[in-house]
Amino acid sequence: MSPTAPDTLERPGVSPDADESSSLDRPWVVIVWNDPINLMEYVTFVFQSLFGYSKEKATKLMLDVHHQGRATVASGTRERCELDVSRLHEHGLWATMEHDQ
Amino acid sequence: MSDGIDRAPSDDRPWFTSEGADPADSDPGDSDLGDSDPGDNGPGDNGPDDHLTAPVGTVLVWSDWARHDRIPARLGQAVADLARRLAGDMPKLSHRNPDGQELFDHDELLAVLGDALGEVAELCRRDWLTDASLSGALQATHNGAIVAAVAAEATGEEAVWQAGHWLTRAGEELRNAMWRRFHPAGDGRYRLRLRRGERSLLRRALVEHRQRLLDDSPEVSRLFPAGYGDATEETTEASKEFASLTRDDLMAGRLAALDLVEGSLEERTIDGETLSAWMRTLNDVRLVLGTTLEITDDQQPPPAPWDSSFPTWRVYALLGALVHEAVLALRSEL
Repeated sequence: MSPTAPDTLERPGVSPDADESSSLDRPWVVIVWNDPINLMEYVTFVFQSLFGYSKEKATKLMLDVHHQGRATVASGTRERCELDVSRLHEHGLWATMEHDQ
Repeated sequence: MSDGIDRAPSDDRPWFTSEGADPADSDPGDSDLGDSDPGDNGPGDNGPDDHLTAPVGTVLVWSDWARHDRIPARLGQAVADLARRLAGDMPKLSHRNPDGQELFDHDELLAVLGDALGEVAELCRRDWLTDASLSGALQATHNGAIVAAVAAEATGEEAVWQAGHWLTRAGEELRNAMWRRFHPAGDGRYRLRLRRGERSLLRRALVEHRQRLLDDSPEVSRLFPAGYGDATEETTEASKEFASLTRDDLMAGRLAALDLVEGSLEERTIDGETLSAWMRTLNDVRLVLGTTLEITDDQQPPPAPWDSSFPTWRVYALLGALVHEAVLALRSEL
């Protein structure tokens, strides 16, 4: 590890280029879709507790979902994304995965 | 008291109970009427019949013992006397906020106090407090206590001091009673304080929810979305495979969470894992009910009380409040 590495921990699989082992593949992304029922603060809390995101980042993603109808909340290998999608489903969020465009 | 001043009681019996009547209270078969968690509200809290006429949205009612000790009337008298005293011959008052920013002169202080005392007098006349009036009452007691302390300092009069104590105590009582249904206990656990009637309403909703899950009824499909977006032949196939890998686990997880919630409905404190199960399960039920209610817009107004969907909507609204408060409690410990 380089001594000048930033001290901010990046969650493996979150950053698109963290997935170098399958760099030939386009990465997969996890999309959360807007729905009229889930509470905004609930969605924010789920993003924080599932992905370890800061409150600011989780809030921004929630607002993206709310205003734009969808937002990419994570990306990585197909397996990683399947796990994330099922955890989001466990929390009642409307999530799908797709190949990054 | 020999000096004739009525002092605020110094014991810690609560003035308010937070089990304000919700419409479920008028259900005569409601077994929760007698067992609503009194929490720290003391032994006198068992007179639900007095409050049956309280309006929807009621959050606090005067406790039985507070009524018995005539607390509303005595608090009202104390603030009325204070108002009369301040309208009389007074030294010039002034007050600077601790941050040094704002200076209140004599007339401004009297105006603030006048507003506050009016609000407190109103509180003393009422049997209950709604969400809408609670913040006003809190601010009034807070402001009133500060101005009373300034006036007491200036006059040195015991009666003015005591009026300040009444207002301070009233503010503390309001804040204590405002506890949410899920309240961090400080040891990683959470106090569970449902309001009267809510337990039985929840129990019914959970039983129905379990049945829907076991029947795999169409309403619960919202809880098991497709794993892949854009319904092409390829993604439909992938979604099918995803469902075969995840659906059983998802269902088992939902039933296990449901077990945890139903098993802890009567508890007074629950751990974080259980509260998390409450949050997810109640949110699930809310999603299903919201789907059957055809909620398509988060600003959608409630149905009219005579509409056939109103009972479902009421449970839906209660679940919204519970999920909100569960998030607040869990978030405070993140």
